[in-house]
Amino acid sequence: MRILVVEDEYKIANALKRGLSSEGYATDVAYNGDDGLANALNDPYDLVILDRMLPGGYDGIAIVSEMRKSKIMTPVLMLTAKDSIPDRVAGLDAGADDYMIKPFAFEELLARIRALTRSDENKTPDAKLEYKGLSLDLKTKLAFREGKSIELSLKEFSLLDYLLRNPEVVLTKQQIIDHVWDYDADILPNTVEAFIAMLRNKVDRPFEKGSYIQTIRGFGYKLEKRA
Amino acid sequence: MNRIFTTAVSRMTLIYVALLSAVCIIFSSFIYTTASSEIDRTSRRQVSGFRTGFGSFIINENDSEQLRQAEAAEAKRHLRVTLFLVNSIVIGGGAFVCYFLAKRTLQPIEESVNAQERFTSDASHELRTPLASMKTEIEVALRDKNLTKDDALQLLESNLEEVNALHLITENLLHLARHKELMETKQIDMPKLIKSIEKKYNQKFKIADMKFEIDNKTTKLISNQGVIQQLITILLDNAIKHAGKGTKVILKIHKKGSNLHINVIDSGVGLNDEALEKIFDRFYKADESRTASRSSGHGLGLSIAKQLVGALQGQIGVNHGPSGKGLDFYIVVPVM
Repeated sequence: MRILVVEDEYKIANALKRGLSSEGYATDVAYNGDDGLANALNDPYDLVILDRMLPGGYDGIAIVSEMRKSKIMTPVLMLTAKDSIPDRVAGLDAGADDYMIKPFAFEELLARIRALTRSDENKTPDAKLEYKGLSLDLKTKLAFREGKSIELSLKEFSLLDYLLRNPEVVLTKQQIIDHVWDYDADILPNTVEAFIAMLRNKVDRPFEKGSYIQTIRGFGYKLEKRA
Repeated sequence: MNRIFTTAVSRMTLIYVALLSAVCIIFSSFIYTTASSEIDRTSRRQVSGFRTGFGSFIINENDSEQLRQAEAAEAKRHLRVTLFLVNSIVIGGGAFVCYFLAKRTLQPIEESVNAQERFTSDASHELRTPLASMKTEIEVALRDKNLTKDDALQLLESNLEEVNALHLITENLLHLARHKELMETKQIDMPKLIKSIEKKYNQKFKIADMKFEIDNKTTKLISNQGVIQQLITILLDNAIKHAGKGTKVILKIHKKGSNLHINVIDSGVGLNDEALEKIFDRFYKADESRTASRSSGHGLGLSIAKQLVGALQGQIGVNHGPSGKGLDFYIVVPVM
């Protein structure tokens, strides 16, 4: 899952990037409103964390409005030191999905990110993604298949997370890169292949029957249960 | 407009209108009673006039009495209608006047409440931001199972920066609260005050790699020393933070008539007109490319300066520098 953080306080922005990355989120940072808006409009993020007051032509409210005008419905979590009721109402009415007051607890931010990125089928209390017997616990970062728990590296976790959010959909390598790696990551053409292979070694290879990760020649990959 | 003030204005308008109506009604009923008794008397006299003047006519007593009554009733009806119309116009028109009057009465209060609210909101923003930085950094570091000693040291340094920023902000807020209470004036020895400022700031400007010059033409005057000193300090601190390396800052102080003029002029890059307008607004920071060492407390400083100058019934503002370069912050306060 890829997250955009738009925040002008360097320290908060950098700490967020560090914290979110270590949770397996590919995180990009924009330090002012104009860059933030450009990123939000051009890259396919799964969530945008937006500071309310930003230097540059666009503040948080303006960015949300512009995104919604351009029909970009990515969930937006607004982060702000302004806590008056009219401020919160203005933020939510402009199109933000959630609002958090600074200073906030990182733990709560993570919970809210999970809540905002939950799909309709995954509104379970245990923060799990599931597809036909293969599941992923978003908190412990463990995968489960046939009652066995599988430990994953951070990137493998992000990759499986993305696949499980798009079951039975053919995903191109570019799509996978866009949602699993951040802007600064060094990606070689075969990086995706390499990580898919590693994931297969853990999720498919050790089990006798059936596979989940399918290669679609010439297109990309697909999560689908096959016997 | 603030909702409290909308209701306050309507309530005040209602009270005004109620008072106006009461006065109108009392006055009208007084007019009505007086006038109707007058009508009764006049018509009685007229009827008796009839009788004496036209003695040959034998007018039925009853007829004349009926005529008299009808006439009097007609006159009274006319009077009632007129009074009703006049009252409606007075009360209706008065309601408008009352509304504007109420609005005008409450406007200065509203403005000061709004300014107070803005200041509180700005101050809390400025206090929350360093706290948020610290909290996020600490929490993220604590979650990191492979935190190195270098990481920890870096975290402590960064946290110390934020603690210093918070310290500065609280000091400023305390100063402001204290000065508001103690707006007493006494004689200030300006050359002495300037000397102490010079000593402190020569050092600061040297560290910031900037030039500093003082041009003081005042000797002794009567005002609040603490406030004057803090105003100069805020403007100089502001210049250090924003004019940039290699620039020159001039502190000019002179007295013209009964006004003390303080100017802090820098040779930095300056600001565009739009940014210039906003500089005293809330926590405006024109500087977009803030580095890792954030200049905390900047917005609050100018905000506090504005409040202090207001308390001295003076003026504060900013212009482009004399040569079109940099900024020229000015303060004008009445002194004795």
